[in-house]
Amino acid sequence: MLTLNHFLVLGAILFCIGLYGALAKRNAIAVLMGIEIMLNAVNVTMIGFSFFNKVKPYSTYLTGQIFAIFIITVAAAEAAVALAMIISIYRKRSTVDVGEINMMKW
Amino acid sequence: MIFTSDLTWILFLPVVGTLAVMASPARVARWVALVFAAVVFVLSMVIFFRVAVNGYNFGDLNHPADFIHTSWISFKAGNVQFNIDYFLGVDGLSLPMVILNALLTMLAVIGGWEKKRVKEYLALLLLLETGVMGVFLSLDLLLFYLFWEVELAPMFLLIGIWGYDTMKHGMPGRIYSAWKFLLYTFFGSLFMLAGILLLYFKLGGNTASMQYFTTHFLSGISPIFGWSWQLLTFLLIFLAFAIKIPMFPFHTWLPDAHTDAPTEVSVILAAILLKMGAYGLIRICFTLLPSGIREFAPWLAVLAAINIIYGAGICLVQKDMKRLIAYSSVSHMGIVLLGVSAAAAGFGGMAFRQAALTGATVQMFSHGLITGLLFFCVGVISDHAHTREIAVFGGIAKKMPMLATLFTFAGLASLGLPGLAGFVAEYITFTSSYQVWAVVTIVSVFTMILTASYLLWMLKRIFYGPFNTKWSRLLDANWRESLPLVSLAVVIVFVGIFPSFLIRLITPALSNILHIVTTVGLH
Amino acid sequence: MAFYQASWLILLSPLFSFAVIIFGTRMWDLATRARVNATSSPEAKAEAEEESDIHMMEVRGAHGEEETLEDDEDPKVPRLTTGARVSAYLGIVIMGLACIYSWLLLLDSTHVINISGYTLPANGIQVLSYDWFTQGTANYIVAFHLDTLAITMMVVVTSVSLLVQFYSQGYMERSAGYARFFSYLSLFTFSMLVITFAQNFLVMFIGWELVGLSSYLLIGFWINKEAKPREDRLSPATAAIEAFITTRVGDVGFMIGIMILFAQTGTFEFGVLASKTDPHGVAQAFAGNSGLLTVAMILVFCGAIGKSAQLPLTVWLPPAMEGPTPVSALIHAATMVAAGVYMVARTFPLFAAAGPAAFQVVAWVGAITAIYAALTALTQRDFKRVLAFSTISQLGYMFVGLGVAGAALGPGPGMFHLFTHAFFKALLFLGAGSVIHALHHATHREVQEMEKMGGLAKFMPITAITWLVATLAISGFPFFSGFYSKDNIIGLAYQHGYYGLYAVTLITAGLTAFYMLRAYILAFGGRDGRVGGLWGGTYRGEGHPHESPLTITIPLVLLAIASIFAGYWTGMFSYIQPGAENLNLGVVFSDPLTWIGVAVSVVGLIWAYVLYTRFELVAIHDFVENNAVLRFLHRLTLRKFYIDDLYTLFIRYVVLGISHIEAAFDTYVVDGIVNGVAQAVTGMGRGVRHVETGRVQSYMAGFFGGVAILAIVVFVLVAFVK
Repeated sequence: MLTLNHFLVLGAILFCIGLYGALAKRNAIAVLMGIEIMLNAVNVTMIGFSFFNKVKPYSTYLTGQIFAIFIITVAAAEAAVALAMIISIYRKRSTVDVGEINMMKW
Repeated sequence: MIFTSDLTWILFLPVVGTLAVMASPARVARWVALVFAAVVFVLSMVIFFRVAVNGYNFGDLNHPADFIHTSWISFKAGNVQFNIDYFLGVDGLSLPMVILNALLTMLAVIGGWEKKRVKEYLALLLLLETGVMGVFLSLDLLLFYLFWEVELAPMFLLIGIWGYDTMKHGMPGRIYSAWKFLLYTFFGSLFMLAGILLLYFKLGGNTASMQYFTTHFLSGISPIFGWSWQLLTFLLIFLAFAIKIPMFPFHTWLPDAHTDAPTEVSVILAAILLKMGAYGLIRICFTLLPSGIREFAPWLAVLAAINIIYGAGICLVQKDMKRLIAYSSVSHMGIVLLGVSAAAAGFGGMAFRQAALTGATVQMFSHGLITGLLFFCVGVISDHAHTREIAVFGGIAKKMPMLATLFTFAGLASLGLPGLAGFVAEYITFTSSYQVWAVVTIVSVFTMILTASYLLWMLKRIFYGPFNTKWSRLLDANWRESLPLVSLAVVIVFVGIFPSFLIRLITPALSNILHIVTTVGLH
Repeated sequence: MAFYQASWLILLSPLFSFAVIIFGTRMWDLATRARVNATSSPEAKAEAEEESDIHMMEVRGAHGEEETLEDDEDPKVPRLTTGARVSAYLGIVIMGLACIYSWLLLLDSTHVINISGYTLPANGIQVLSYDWFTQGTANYIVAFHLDTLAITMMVVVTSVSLLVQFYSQGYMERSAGYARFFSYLSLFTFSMLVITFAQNFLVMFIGWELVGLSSYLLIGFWINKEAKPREDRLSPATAAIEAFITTRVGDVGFMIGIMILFAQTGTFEFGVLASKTDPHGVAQAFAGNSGLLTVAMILVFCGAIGKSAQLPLTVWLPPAMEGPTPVSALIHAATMVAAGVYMVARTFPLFAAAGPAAFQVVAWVGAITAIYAALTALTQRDFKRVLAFSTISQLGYMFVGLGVAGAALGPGPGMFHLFTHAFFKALLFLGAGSVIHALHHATHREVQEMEKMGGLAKFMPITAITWLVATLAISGFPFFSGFYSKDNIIGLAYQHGYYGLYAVTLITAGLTAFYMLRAYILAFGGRDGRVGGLWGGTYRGEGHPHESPLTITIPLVLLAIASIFAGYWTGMFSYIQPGAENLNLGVVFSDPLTWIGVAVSVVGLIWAYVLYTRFELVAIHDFVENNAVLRFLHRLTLRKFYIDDLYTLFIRYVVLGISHIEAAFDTYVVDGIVNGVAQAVTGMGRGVRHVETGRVQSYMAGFFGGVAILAIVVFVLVAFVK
């Protein structure tokens, strides 16, 4: 029997994996992938909450699902922009190592 | 309604002037600026003469000779009601300052006739006039605060753009001094705002009108305040004024700002902006917070003596004329503080205290004239000789007889020579303050020696003694440069010989203040 | 009544002259001056282009560069313009009228003649007044007042001023600042008349400071003149400042005294203060507190110490000789230094009401100054400087006179000496001016050292004879004016039991006689002169001096007459203070004290006569130099007991030292804190900005770390804090 806890644990695990990827990976693409994983972890959590809402029937309130769709959309846009930036940075500096990209310091 | 009041015109004509100057071609811009400044001056004199011929009663804060009062901003946020009134008025205390401001701005326009980028320069001078006028005219605390801040912007630009380039702390002096002036004043005004808001909300009258506060004191209903609250509010508000006056130890922005500002700006700075602090001290701190200032009066007296003697002592070893005069301002403004502290003390004969406050107010006016004159004189020298260092001159009275005469005149006026404006103030303040603060006044009187020493010594090193042949090509002040000097000199002599016209003007306002003090003193 | 009431005309007439000259005839003078010839040097050409430059025209004729320095000594014009002459005439005529008016007032009020048919009340009348500020008990009223004391002083002031102005026509011939000089003289007279007419301390103080201003302007008249360190002479500009500031030191005391009186009594009016019945009078206001009144009066006396150059503020008067000589005459005889004496005379009832210490301080300061100045004068080489110290010494006498007279006699004795002294001291200075003038013509330099004079009597007989009259008058030689006034003071000191003062003043009288005759012989006589060396002798200077013109000699003769006869106004004591005992000539001549005084003076005269007509100056000099004790004493007196040097050190190292410390404190501590705060803020920003690494992952770590910390905080708050 799937309970809310399963969804939450799955979301937390995904989020931690994503966080680890975003913080530890040096390749910008990998960092981006980490972020995407974190976003999806949130999606899972949202939908879990929405589905297991006991107070109000989920047919009435689709908040969680709607948020998830929003996030997917935003994530797509974000991925597009981020990839474009990465390509652009790569062309300029011949690297996608986030440790070396510190043009915005100070 | 608003535009039928001449106070509105006095206040906003300079702004119109600013726009007109910017819009007109450079050739006529000067004349446009002069015309606007002159009209403002004439308007302020019109107010003076209108009251003077009708019985010479210039009134006090509660009965201003001329005022306009209408609601400006009024909104409610939650259960907080904000009311800021467009409330302008002139009484015996503010009218001399208004006239002084109008006069000196007009002369400053003449003085700045040949500046670089003259259009912008004169436009900003006019804008500055509005800011200062607003401070002197406002009878609403929040409006007062607004204009107090408005004045900063043109001053900042005037010092920062047209100032001198001497290097200070690794940057051009004008930049350093402009920032120092701005930040220092701003620092003070924040506390003032806090103090004003405290007053506003504590009293809960949903108005920041100064009259409201005084009537509450007068009628004995003072929902605020035992003296401790008043003292706190006083200290908050006074900090802004202390910086502006400038009072030791908040005075160090002044020598820097003066040395780096262009001549006319120094004139306005010394003659008018410092008076804003003194005016605020009397108008707001003293009138609205009598118990607070009474608690602080002994300290104020001590600080006054420090200002007077310390400022004068430093003058003795200054090498730069402007810096010397700047410190002399510190010393002379100390006399204002002394008079106020004597009047604010909770004891002493009423007549003496009123005399002390009168002396302080006359000192505000006469110091404005005299220091203005001194700075104009220094300006002429530094324009002609391109240096302000005292030591490089010598005996140049031979080359600049006109300027030497006027500069000596200014120096003598500043050291308190009878027959000139400074003496009236000094004599009245010292003789009457003694009754209240004996020791402090005795210490302060020694400034007579120091002031004479540094001024005459400076004059001697510049103008008298063996002629330094290096300056054999120096030209005397031309008529355009002499005009402001001579005008100020005439006023100084007039005030010095017939001070009663000024004293009778301010007396009702000061009587009212002391009346409040006694009323509160009974509590 | 109206005759007395209109005396404000006397007060305002010099002010009128001043204004008319400064703004009218002087401008006329400057506008009509001959244009400067353009010479070949580019320097002069550039200057010639500055036609608006008025001083330039004053300064040079068609001189080359070399003579510029000489020109700065005393700038001359080729010839005086009409404007300049009119300035002088205007000043003289107005002063003449004022002088006649004041003499008429004197004669009328002493009932010698009767014009007004009115008797001046003992406490005088108010002639002019207007308010500055009146509020309850604090009244600041500018009021002028006329009484017998004022009339006496007024006569002295206007007479001496008139003669000095008349004299200046000759002395200042072709001076570039001719008109300016006359306007300043008028201003000086006006200032002194303000003091004379003062009804209260406010007006007194106004006049007091205006006198300071006038002396400042006149002493520094030759603005570009250089110092002469070899002759121990300052530049006029420096001397002017010294005079102003030194007197201001005294003024501080004066001011504090006024403040004490005002705070206690609430009035500045002399009449009210002196009143015994008025609650604002010192007698009532200081009842049970006479110690404070004594202190106040001693402080008021400090003002007199400054203005009248008493110890310890003597230093300004000798350098004040740097002004043109007529100015010295005016300062020393009638105006500046007399102001102090007059002020004490004016406030005499207040001194009398104070404890006895007040008068004792006055008398002792006077006596010590008298002997100090007399000792210093013994060895001075500069002609005018001898006179300067003699003035200081004589002023000391006046203060002794005021201090010992006591309430019954009033200020009469002191004022009497002021009155006689004014004439012979003016004469001495104008005579000295005549000599300097003549020597300037003869040598084309300014000669004031007596070593370069000698035997001048044969060249300038009128100057010499009048000077001799003045010398005898100041020495207290019988039948001359100084005899009556000075011996009276010395005698009073004895009669009133001040034996110490008596001894000091008596010795001073002998010294006075000595140094005055010494100066006379050094200048006018000599070893090989006639009349036993008193008349003529070897002239030690260059050129051929001639007697001065009539404009100079007429005042000398008039003053000589006054110097003899001024002492015969025996009714003066009761004139100034009704009821006071007058000087009785019969008693004077029969009193052995008088003859002791005369004997001491004569001893001084004989000593000087023997020393300087029987020995060469060089021989005396060598003798002194070869004797260690004498040499030491000579140095000591010549250097004025090192008071000047002491003050110089004090100012240079203590006053300016403190100022330097203050300035450093201001820059490094007060401003240092301000800049320190600014630097702390910017420094903090500089440190904190390193957090911005620019690496996206460190931001991310910060962000999630922050969220984690917040989450823990919230968890703890929710779970454990209820």
